[in-house]
Amino acid sequence: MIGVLLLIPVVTALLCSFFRNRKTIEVINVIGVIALTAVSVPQITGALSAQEYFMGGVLFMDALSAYIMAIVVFIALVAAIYSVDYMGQEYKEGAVTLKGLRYYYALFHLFIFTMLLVSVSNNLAVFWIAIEGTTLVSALLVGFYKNRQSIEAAWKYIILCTVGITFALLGIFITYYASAGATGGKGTLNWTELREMSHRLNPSTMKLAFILILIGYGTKAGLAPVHNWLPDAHSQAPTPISALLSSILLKCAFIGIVRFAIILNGSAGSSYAGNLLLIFGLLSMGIATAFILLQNNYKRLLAYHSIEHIGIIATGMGLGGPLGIYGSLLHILNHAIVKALLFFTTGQVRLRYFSTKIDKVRGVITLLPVSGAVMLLAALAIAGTPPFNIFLSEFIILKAAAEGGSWVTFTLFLVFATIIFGGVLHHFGGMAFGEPNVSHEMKGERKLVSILIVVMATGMLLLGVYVPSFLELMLSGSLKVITGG
Amino acid sequence: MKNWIQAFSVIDFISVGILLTAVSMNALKRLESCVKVYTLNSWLLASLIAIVSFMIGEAHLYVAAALTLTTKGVLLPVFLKRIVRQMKVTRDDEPYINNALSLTISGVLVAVVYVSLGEGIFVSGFSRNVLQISIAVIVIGLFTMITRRKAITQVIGLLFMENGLFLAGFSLTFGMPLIIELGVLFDMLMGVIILGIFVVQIKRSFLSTDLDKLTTLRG
Repeated sequence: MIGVLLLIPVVTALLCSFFRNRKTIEVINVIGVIALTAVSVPQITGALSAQEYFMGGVLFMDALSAYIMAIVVFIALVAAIYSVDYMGQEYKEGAVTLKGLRYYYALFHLFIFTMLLVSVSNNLAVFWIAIEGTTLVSALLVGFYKNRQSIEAAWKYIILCTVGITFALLGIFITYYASAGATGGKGTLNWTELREMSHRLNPSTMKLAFILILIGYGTKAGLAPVHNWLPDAHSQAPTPISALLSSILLKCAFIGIVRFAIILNGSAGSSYAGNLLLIFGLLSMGIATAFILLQNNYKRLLAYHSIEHIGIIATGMGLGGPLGIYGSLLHILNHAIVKALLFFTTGQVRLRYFSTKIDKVRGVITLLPVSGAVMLLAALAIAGTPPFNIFLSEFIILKAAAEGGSWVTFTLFLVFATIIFGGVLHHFGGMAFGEPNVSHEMKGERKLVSILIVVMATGMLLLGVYVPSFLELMLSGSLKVITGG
Repeated sequence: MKNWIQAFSVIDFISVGILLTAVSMNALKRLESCVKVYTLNSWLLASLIAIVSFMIGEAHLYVAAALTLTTKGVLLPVFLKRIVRQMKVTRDDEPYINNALSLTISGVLVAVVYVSLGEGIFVSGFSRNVLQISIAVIVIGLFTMITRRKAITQVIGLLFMENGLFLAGFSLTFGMPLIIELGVLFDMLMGVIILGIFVVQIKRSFLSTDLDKLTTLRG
């Protein structure tokens, strides 16, 4: 079944590059993601009850993989549907050719394939290969428009992430060496086996390996101070791709760090990995805060928000304890939904105003009532306003900090969150209200997009007040995987 | 044969050769020479793997050596040479640090790596020096990436880093399982091809192959 699941996006990609008719490609694209969703649901529910292995233990699914896969599939679904409208409009305006469209959809589905492979890899090296695969495919998507800015962004992205991930591979080699030392014979790279033998692995070797992994996957996850590629790539990629990068790609890389931290915790105790994650988490939040205030480009602004939120996720993970980890896991989903929503709504703004500068955009609510209103709500949500979902997970992480007595973390978290709240209100308030500064003629909003974003906004609101039982099941299962309980 | 290899410490000679080719990259200005030095480096790497597999009698390592030779020793250099010709830029004349100084700095880097790993936690199976050398090659590759101006020299620096990485992996573990090695090599090959595409696009839209022209995105 897992084979079918992984094949669907590959086949969809091949078909998309094969056909030469815009409508056909778009239909294949939508059918592809719907089929993917349909196949993944039984797979995910199956993995929640019992851990499953495939292909001789190279691939596997536990509750954590199921959770990440669920998020990947969900965001892929909404982004594919959104792409039909967004890229369709770009095509009508002549910004994209038919050849470009085929290329776009083919790469889109390959990108989904690499991320699905990340979520189900048991072998650390296969995980690495999949992560490097995401870089290669998405770099082509970042450079999609082939203008100066996008080529520069793609170049920086691929060079920085490849160099970073080279260090991660060294970390994996060292882990293999450590496991060979522990068994006295052949080493292993299977995560499940490594976790079982983790108490026998040499702690100082594993600490070195973890630092290399943290540098490598941390670059990809967008942790400061190795985040420099992120604002460029997010701002230059086509909008649906920005949503994929921010909502799921960063999380996939972060899960690599978490998986490795689980092994390290068994070997060297939980404080080492936790403290490092805490430091880099808070640093990411701090650096993002400064850039959010000064930003004058809304796509870059959203990119810095991604750095902030990956920082929050790392902080929660670093605080540890069931509460911190739970909050952090919940935040992964919440941020994915809200960030995708923000990219989708600001994508509509870009199509209407032809600019990504914040001060060139005024009166979105007047011109685009649905997108504007949802954009404002999502902006409030990303700043951590109740009753939206991000508030809930941030609150849980703060509570974990308070209960653990980490008052420095608690204070810094609150200070950064408050400043960011001010920044968000200033930037998005300015864009949403006021007198529109482009022609007033109403084009009418796109029905498909409006329905999509309203549905997602409802989800954002509902998740802020309660956690549905299937989500609770995934969260508690993933929590068990991480704490080993 | 085995005695002969041990008596003349062939393995040490080859690994020193790998280090020297990486260092000499810092002294070269012609892009084609850079590609040649990289080719030599890859051939040395492949022969090291082949000799060690002969010494310990592991059949699957011969396959790894052959794979290294075909991808890093033949395919990548041919591809890089084509790009260099297509660019019509033959020299990388003004690195950020001049050649004499960067040679000195790479010497210092090698010394630092040696000292810091001298009493390290690692004992490798076939030669004590190979791990130090491989880390030094990684560091020098990184240094080349920082100091050179041309996009293509940055790619070659990255490739040196990856050769060092393979050597490190090999010295630590006698190579990964073959299927993993294949996957990593495949990723690497695709990566260089995609980088090559971007090198061409940079030349086309910036009308230059100098990376310091890439300053449109800030803040």
